[in-house]
This record gives sequence, C-alpha cells and structure tokens, in this order.
Amino acid sequence: MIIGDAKNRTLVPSLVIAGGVTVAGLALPLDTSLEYTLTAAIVWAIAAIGLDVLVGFTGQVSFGQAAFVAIGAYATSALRIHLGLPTPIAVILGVGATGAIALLLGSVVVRYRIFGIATATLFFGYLVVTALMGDVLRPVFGGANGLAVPEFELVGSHGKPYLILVCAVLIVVVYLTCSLMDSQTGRALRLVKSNEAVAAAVGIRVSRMKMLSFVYCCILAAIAGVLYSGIVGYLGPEGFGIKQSVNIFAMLVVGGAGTVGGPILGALLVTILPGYLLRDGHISAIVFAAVLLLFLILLPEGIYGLGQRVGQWLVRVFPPLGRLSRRRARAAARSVRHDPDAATGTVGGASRAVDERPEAEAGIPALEIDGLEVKFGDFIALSDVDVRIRAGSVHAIIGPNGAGKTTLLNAVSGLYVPSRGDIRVFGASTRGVAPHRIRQRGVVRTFQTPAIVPDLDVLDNVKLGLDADEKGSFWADLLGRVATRRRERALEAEAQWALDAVGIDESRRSLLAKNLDLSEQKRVEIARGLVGHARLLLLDEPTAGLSVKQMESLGATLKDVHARFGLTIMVISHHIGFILDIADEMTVLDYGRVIGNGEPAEVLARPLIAATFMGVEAEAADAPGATVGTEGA
Amino acid sequence: MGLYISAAISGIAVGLLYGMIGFAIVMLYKSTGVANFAQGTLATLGAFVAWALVTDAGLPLLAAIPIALIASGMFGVIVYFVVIRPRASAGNLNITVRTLGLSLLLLAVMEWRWGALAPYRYPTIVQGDGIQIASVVLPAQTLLIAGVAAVIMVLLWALFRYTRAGLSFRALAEQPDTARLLGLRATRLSAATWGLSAILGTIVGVLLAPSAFLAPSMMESYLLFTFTGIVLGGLTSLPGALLGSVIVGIVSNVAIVAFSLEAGVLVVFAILLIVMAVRPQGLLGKQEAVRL
Amino acid sequence: MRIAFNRSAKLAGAGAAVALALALGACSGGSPGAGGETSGGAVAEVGVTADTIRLAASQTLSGPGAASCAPSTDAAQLYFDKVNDEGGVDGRKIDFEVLDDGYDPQRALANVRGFIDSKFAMVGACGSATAAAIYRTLSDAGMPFLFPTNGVAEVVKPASPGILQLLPLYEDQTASMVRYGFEEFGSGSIFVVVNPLGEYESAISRAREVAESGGGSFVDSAVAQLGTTDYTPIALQIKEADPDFVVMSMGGSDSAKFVNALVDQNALPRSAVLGTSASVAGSFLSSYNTAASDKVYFGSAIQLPPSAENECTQLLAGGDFANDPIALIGCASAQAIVEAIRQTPELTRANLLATIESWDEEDISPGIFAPVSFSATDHIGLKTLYVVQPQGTEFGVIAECPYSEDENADASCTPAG
Repeated sequence: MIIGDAKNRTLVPSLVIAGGVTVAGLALPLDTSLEYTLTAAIVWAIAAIGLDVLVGFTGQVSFGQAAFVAIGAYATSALRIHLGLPTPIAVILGVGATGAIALLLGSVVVRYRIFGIATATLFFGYLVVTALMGDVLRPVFGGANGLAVPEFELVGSHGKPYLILVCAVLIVVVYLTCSLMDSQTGRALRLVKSNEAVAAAVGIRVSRMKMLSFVYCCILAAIAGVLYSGIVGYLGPEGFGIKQSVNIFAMLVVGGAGTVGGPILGALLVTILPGYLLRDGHISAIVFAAVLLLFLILLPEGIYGLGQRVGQWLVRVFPPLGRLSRRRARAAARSVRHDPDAATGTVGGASRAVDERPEAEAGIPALEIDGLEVKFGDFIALSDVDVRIRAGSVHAIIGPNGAGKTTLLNAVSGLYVPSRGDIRVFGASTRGVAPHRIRQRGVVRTFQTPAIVPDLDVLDNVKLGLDADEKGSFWADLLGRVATRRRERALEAEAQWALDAVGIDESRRSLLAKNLDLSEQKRVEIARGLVGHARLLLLDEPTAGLSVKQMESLGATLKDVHARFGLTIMVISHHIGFILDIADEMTVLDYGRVIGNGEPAEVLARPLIAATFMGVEAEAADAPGATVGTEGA
Repeated sequence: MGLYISAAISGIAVGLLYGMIGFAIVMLYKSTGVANFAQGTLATLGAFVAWALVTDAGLPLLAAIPIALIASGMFGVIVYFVVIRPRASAGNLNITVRTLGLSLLLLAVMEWRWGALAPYRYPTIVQGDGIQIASVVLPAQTLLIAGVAAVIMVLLWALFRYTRAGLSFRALAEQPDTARLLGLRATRLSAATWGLSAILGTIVGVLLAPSAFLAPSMMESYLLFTFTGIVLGGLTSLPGALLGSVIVGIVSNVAIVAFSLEAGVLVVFAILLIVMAVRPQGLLGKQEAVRL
Repeated sequence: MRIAFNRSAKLAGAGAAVALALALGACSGGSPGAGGETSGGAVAEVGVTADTIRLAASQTLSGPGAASCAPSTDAAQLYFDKVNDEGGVDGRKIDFEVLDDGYDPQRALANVRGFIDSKFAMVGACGSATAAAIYRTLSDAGMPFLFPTNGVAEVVKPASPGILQLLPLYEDQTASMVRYGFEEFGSGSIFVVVNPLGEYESAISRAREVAESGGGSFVDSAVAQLGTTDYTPIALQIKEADPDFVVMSMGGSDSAKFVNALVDQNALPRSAVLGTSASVAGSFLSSYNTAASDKVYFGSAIQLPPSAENECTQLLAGGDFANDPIALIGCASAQAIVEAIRQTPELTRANLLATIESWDEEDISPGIFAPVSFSATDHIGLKTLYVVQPQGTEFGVIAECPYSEDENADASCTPAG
C-alpha cells in the first residue's frame, strides 16, 4: 500500500523551493498577519517533510504527526519554564524526549501493517491531546488553559528575525533530508516501501529501517513544535488534535509525497489558503477538502510533480534548456564513471573473482536441507524435503504449479520459518536466523516478479545489493555527498561492474527501473545479487515471461558469472531446455515432496518423473525451452 | 455489581454501533483494499437526510428512513464512481486519503448547510422506558440497537452465503486478482459494496442520533473506537470487526465507570498496543502469507 | 473535469501558490500608520478615523464549536448595523470584521496579529482556549479586548490591562450554585461533572469547598471531553454514588446529553442538577429531555426571558436565534461596547479602558444584564447570577444570586418576583 512514486535527486529543486520561500518571505513587504501565517506555514512544512520521509519514502503512514509536534513543543517549553534551562539545552532534551517516545511507540507499531499503524498513530494523537488536557499533567503542561511560552532569546517571537530562524532551520532540514533520501539509507527505505519481504532478503533490517524512518519523522515534528511554541507564544491542546494531523497529511499530499520540497509548497497552500485568503469558515473548509480531493484524484504527484511536468514541457518547447540539463547530468555521471580502482580497492568488486572458496575444497555443501516441513495453518506446503547442493554447482528445482518451489526458496532465505527440519548454509544452520543475517552469509535471491524499486534508477537499484556489506552510516548519509562521496563512488563502480556482468547497456542505466523491459529487470535483479558478497544465488523463475532469445542470453550470462565467480546457483524454472543448458543437478518437487533428484537429463528420463510429470506435457517438453506446467504471471 | 453490569450493557449497545460501522469498513477493505475514513461521515449524512425528510418534507419517520436508506445507497455508488474509481491505479494509500478528503468535504458541507443550528434533537423510532431488571435499566433504544444489529447480521450472513452477489463478493475479498481474472465484474461489485456501506452507515446514524444528537461531527469520536475494534478483530474478519468493537465498547465503558473517562481511552489504547504486539493478526484474523 | 484540472494547475504551477499568496499579501500589505500613540490630532488612535471605528473579532465560525459560538458575533453585527443605521456613534460608523479561527489558538493569534495594527478594539467571542492564547498579545499591545466568553482565570485574574469580561468565571459560578442549592433544598452530598472549559479543576474544587463548608459532602467528580457522545457511563457512576446534587459545568449540548443519560438510567439526583452559564444555550433547550426540567437549575449571566423593552430583544425577535442566550449575550455585549465608546470623550484605547474601569453599577443593557461594575483591579463585570430553569423552549429566571469573588461577602439569593 503505497502513496505513489518517490522522486530521485530532490536536493536541488527542494533547496530552490526552500530558498525561494526564504527570499520571498524576507524581501516582500508582508503585513503582520501574513508574515505570521507564512512563518507558521514554514513551521508546519518542517513537520510535513518529516511525514514525507515516513509516507513518501518508506511507505508507512502516521495520522498522529501533530501529536509529536505537541510533544516537542510542550516538552521544550516545560523545560524552559519549570526548570529554567537555557533554550538550547531545553531544545535538545525536548526533541530527544520526543525521539524516545517515538522509539517506544515505533517499536510496537512498525510490526503492523498499514491499517494498524494508521489506527495506532491516530489513537496516539487523540491520547496525547487528552493527556495534555487532563489532570495528571496539568501542573506541568497547564491542562486546557495551556502554557504561556517565553520568547526565544535573539529572535523574539515574531517578525523577520524569527522568520530568518525558521527559514534557516527549513533549509538545513531540507538539505539533511534530501541527502539522507539519496543515500544508501534512503534507498533501503524505498525498497522497504516497495516490498518488505524483498528488502529483508536483500539484507535490510526492515523493522529497524521502519523505526528509523518513524523516529526521523517524529524528530522533525518535534523541531517544528519548538519553532511553533516560539511563534505562537502559547500552547493549548486544541491546536494539535487529529484535525491538525490530517492537515499535515494534506500538506504532504497536495505538495507531493516522496519529494521533500513538495511538502513545503503544500504547507504554504494548506496554511495560507484558509488562514489568510479565505476567511469565511465554511467556504474555507469546503475549498480545503475539495482542493485535497482534486489533488488526490487529478494530480497525485502534487504540486512538485506538476512542476516537474511543467519543467519537462519547457524542455520540449525550448530545447536549449534540455541540452543544458543533459550536459549537467552527463558531467555528473562522468565524475563517477570508470574508476575501476575505486571498485577493487574499497569494496572488493571484481576482486571477488579470485576469492578463495575454502568450502568448495573442504567439501562442505553450499546448502543442505534435511527433513524440511513448512506449514501454513493446517496446510502443509512442504514435507520431508531433503536437498543437497554442492558448492560451486548449478542446481535446478522443478515441479508443477503449487509444488512448493517458491516456498522452498523462501524457507532458505529465512522469509518462512520451517515447522520441522533444518537448513544449513555452508555448514551453518539458519534456524532462528533473521533474513538479513542469512543474506549476510552470502545467500542472495531474486524473485519471480522482479523485485526492484520501480521509482529508483537502475544503478541505484543495484547499489541496494550492497546494503548488507556496505551498510551506510546514518549520520554520514545525513551529511550527504560531503561525507559519502568516497563510498558512493565505490558503490557506483561496483554497480557498474555488475551491470556490465549481466549485460545491461550503459545507456539504460540511468533510467528508472520501471521503464526497463522484463528481461532487463530480471538482469538488474541478478546484478543486485552479484554486487553483494553472493556465494549462493537463489533464482526464482528467472526465465518466466522471457522470449527464447532473451532466455538464451540470460543463460549465457548466468554461466558466465557462475564460471567467473565460482557462485553456487539454485534456480527454479519451468523451462526444461534452459535447465538442461545450465544445471549440473536437479531436484523435482510435487505436492510439497521431493520425487526425484540427480543429474537433469537422467532424472527427466526416469519413468516415474516422465509419467507423473512430463507425461502431462510431453509434447511441450520436446521443444527446446518448453514449459512445464503453466505458472501464472 | 449492578453498576458494572449496566455499564457493560451500555457498552454492548455502543459496541454494536461501532461494530456495524466497522463491518462496513472491513467489507470495503476486504474487497478494495481501502480503509474508508468517510464511513462515519456517511452515517451522519444519512441521518441528516432522514431528518430533513421528516422536518422539511413532513414525512413520518418510518417513511423517511427507507427513503434515506435508498438515497444513501445511491450516494455510496456515486461516491465510488466520482471519488474512488477515477485513476484507481494511484495506489491504495492515495485512495484511502481520498476517503479522508471526502469525509472532510461532506463534513464541511453539512456544517455549512445544517451546522448553524446543530445539534438537533432526533426523533426516536421507539419510545418508552425500556426494561428494568433489579437496578439494571435496559433503555428502549439499547434494545432497538441490539435488535437491529442482530437482524442486519443475519441478513448479511444470508447475503454472503446464499446469493450470487454475496458469493462473488467473497471471491473478490479472498482472491482479488484471481477473481478479476475469472471475469468477476469487480467494478460493479465494488460500487455495490460502496452502496451497501453507505446504507449500513445510515442505519447506524439513525440509531445513534437520538442519544448523541444530530450534528455534523456526531460520528467523529466513533471512528477512533471503530478502527480500534477492527484492528482488534483482525482487519479482514467481518465477525471480528463486530467482536472487536463490542469488546472496545464494554472495556471502555466499564473502565470509565471504574476509574474515569480518561482511563477508558487509555485502557482501550493499551489493549490495542498489546494485541498488536502479541497477536498482530488480531483476534479473528488470519495470518497472511507474504505474497512474492 | 478539464476546468477543474486547469484550476488546480493554476493554483499549483511552479510554486505559484507562494508567489500568488505573497503577491496578494504585498498588495494588501504596507502596515497602515503603525503605532498606537496619540500624537496631538483629534483622531490619532489605531482604527479610529473621523467617520469610522474599526472593531474586530476572532470567532469560531467553522468546526464543531461554530454552531454555538457564531450567534454571539452575528448578533453583535446586527446591533452594530442598527447603530450605524441610526447614524453611528458620534458620527462614526462601526466597521466590524469577524475572522474565523476554527477554535484553533494558532489561527486566533494570526487573526489578532493582523488586527493590532488596524483595528481599534477586539470584540469578545467564544472560547476559553482562544482567549487564553491571545490575551497577552492584546494586553501587551494595549488593545482593548472587550467582554470575551472565557473561563480561564489567568486571563482576568489578576486583571490584565485591556482585558475585560462580563461573565463570572465558571469556578465562581459552581460555588454560587452549590450555595443556592443548599439554601433551597438543605445541604447534602454533591457529585461534580465538568467539561474542560477553562478552569475546570478549580470549578470542581470551589464547589467542593462550598459544599463542605456548608455542611454537605463531596462524593466524586468526573471530567468529560467536550463533545463526548455517550454519557451513560457517567450517569451510571452517579446512580451508584447516589448524591443529593449533581453540579455541572458543561457546554450546552453536552449538558443536554448528560441530563438525558441521567433520565434514561433513572439516575437523577434526589435534590437538583446545578449548572453554570455554559449550559444556558439554545442547544440545551433544543435537545434536553423535559422529564428532567424541574430538577435542573442553571446559573445564567443574563436575565431570561429578556426584558421586551431591551433593544436586543427586539432586534433578535423573529430571527434565527431569538431565544438563544448566546446571541443575547453577544448583542448585549455590543450594546455595552457602544455605550462605552459613547461615554469616552477622546476616543483612544486607553481612554476607553478608563471609561469601563470607572463603571460602578452601570446599567449597560437593562433587562438583559444586571448592572456591571469594574475597577482597575477587578476585570469581571457582573456581580449577579440569575438562577434559571428550562421551561419548555425557554429558560425562566427563578432567583437572583449575588455573586462576588469575595468568598464571605455573599448574601443569600432572592427569588425572582
């Protein structure tokens, strides 16, 4: 359940938006009321940017954002008023406290699906307002009477100095957020958004990433709260109810989710429209709801997306503009291209080809499955499955629909927990081991429908394969290219190498992954597997949906990487020709049980297999690249 | 003791109302994957329509209600075609937020049209003192709510069990992709589900308005508990929505009587968090296998 | 569809929203002659010119509170229109602007910041939370804030310069009502139920003090959010506690829901249900269960039904809110403001405030408000609380109680003649 595509490389446009608002706010002669409304809008924009990280980039929801604004505002103000702490210390403690509460709530809610998170955050928002109104906290927070907030030193409580402060914070927040979203951490969030199971299999700690995103979202809310407390000079529970949480959500939607800069525009529209331009209560409420609906239906990408489209249209109408921007993109690309030293030097890259493979020599199998049983409720998907895969071999799994092939792969990669039996990867049991840990042992898999991030470009998709090994540091990622340039260059070189290996044309590498054709997407997924320290590659139906020619070419690629890097490959396929071409051994599954095992040609010749399995599709099996069964799309 | 029994009984009555709203939300969620945040506002709108028919058109209440039910059913279908169906590919969260926007819009329109003199006293279908057993009072309205809830549950159960439309709905809910491949008319079915949701909403609105008084924001506090009930019940389980909501109703009312109003909310939230942590699939929900 | 798209496209285009809003702001901007100091000329006050006096209010015009709040400023507007039709105040017309704040403190403050440099005074509106949010800003700017409906003590106690209200605080009202109840029915046990309207804790504790010092007892209290849908659990608690009196400080429709729940659960107290002026609203009359009417006693800031002689009674008669006490309060407050302006020789903010602070037993709206008195240290005007009972679709006064912030000075109530 996602809200739409996120945008890439948002730093420049978002900074332009933030800077534009700053310049306009400072340069134009605003009347007091508009200046105040503008300042408040920017404050809410900061909270909306936080929500964008959670919603637009991580694919989660929160209908309690205003509650975290309240917590930040109240905590900081109470520390300043009651303990007399200096403002900077109060701010750090107040924002920190908000982060801690977010962490606590997050640790429970991130496990849940969207509906649950929505309900829990909505409820939490309601509860915070109730608590702020209530008796217990009244001595500290003033109950329904609210809390008078003393002015901030230096900037006072309103006017240009305050606007400068708020804009400065906005620009810093935009810079940090854009940097984070364009980094390895941001890419991991976006894989979580597009498919949590895939993210886990790629080695991402899904719950941790969701929590990181939730806490980041709430910290920005708290910062907005601090600024809000200063400009309003008064905190009352009324301003932070569910209604305001919905307003923040509306800012995000109207501005454009997954853009960082968009929510700023959304906040301006949502705050200034009813607060300043439309002063009749009913009309403004109707217009507000109607604008929100129109955006959702007609312009789901928000103002930011519209701006981008206008930009593309301008490029079409005035080609010189296009040349300019293309030149810039090329220059950027050149700066990171073709630096083979970076790859081999820091990450390993092609150097892995000469890695020693002690297991192969010691005779430890890459994968041993003993007596595996997987149950879904009462349904037994796999029972008593034994598979043994020699290190360095290519092992095929075949079987009709529903035989349990994908279930087997999921069990190996840790996505399903077996009810009985044991799985050992390179000699070590994976019982109770989380998917991302299994991934760290070198188990890399692909999925039947290519599990890539559709709104991320090809190169970035491949970089995700390195998440397990080259974990980005959150703090470095926040600082952006300044801090991550070296690592990014290494990742880039590594990804280029892997794309070379799977034969993706250079001209296709800067496209969004969703714009590639199916066979390319499958190659990208394999490349993502290759860049990590893959030792055992699990391929789920790499051939489904491919033409014969594409299949042959993919087979050649696989044989090539297998030979060059000594990978062990376990592959599910329906295409007998393909299997005969690449596999050393084969296991046949039917109704969740192993019914044959051995050298492919020999197994296929067995009467039992031929009768129960091949017999059905004898005709088809004759042809090269024939299909066994008919796997649904 | 009588106090707690009375509290539990009033909790059941409230819970049944939450539950019927929750039922409609789960129905839509199962068939379209969308959490309908406008369900409460649809209920209020339905109650307003019935009320307008009584006061403006001078109809007797028992004639106004069926007309309001039909009108709200049609309105539900219109909402589906105008708000939900265009660009349905935009993603479930987009559509979910659309329902939120729809809710705000309907609310704003009701505030504008009827807000000035709200809240209104709402005519009751049943009059009388209800039943008194020892110190426990069963108000007439509570009995009516329980009766209507029972009738509706039986009707819906029969609908899903024995009619073609009901079977199609279940197919759509269990396996949306397959159902579409098999040629089920998903659009028609989704539109019908929207209509049915709006009708259920109107029933709840008409039952609630006599005690809560008719005002545009009448259902606001209801939605929170309804969603909690749904999550407790397991998101995708229709009986679960009802069970979860009744639990929420009883627990919150007993906690309020035993401690305070704030405690009622707090206890319900604690239960929500505990169930989410311990049994993420909810009380009656099924554990969903990850589809890859 | 196409038109709609173009429209949203226009709104959105390339950050145009910002530019548009800012540009509009720039046009309407340019602060008009800043500063509120008198500088010699006959007319040198903000918002006052030779022919107009600019007044403003920030009111809850949207959202759940709008229904009960809006009538007060609507009625004030009607009165100002009437004054203008009759030639204005000393030749000056009153220009009254009402902005919506949706009961949101942030928006209320935004409205106020816009008013300070352009309006002469703020007319009070609904809402403790908004009043609490804006009063300091107004007080600092020296802008009169005349007669808000407010229950937050710190706004008027101690007196903040410029902030004056007519209505007694709810805490003083609950105290008065308990005293009245004990006088009428003999002392007994009380159960207090409040919505968080302003100072609700002290509303409970003051009722308790008066009950205990008057020979009665305090059983328990409950706090319910404004807009609570189901009051049954509280009614059940009361039934269990079985008090002699229920004391409440709740909004109009909440009061009705609560009283109805008491009736449904056979939980009405033995002696009386005592309420504050917050319950005295049209929304109570339109929806309470009449079975409770002879047990219900509310404190009211105004005489009900209002005297037919009063201009406001005549003005509102036949309109949408003829019987709405909140509209009457709005209109009568406007009367008081106009009277204050008339009495102020040289119209500046400071002089206006001085005029009002000098009022002693001033009959500003005879037949609606009892005479009001202010001083430099006392910014609550009314000294009398009417006790009213719902009678069908009207409230009727049954007694008058002197009210004073001084605990011991209270004489006993007198039945209305």
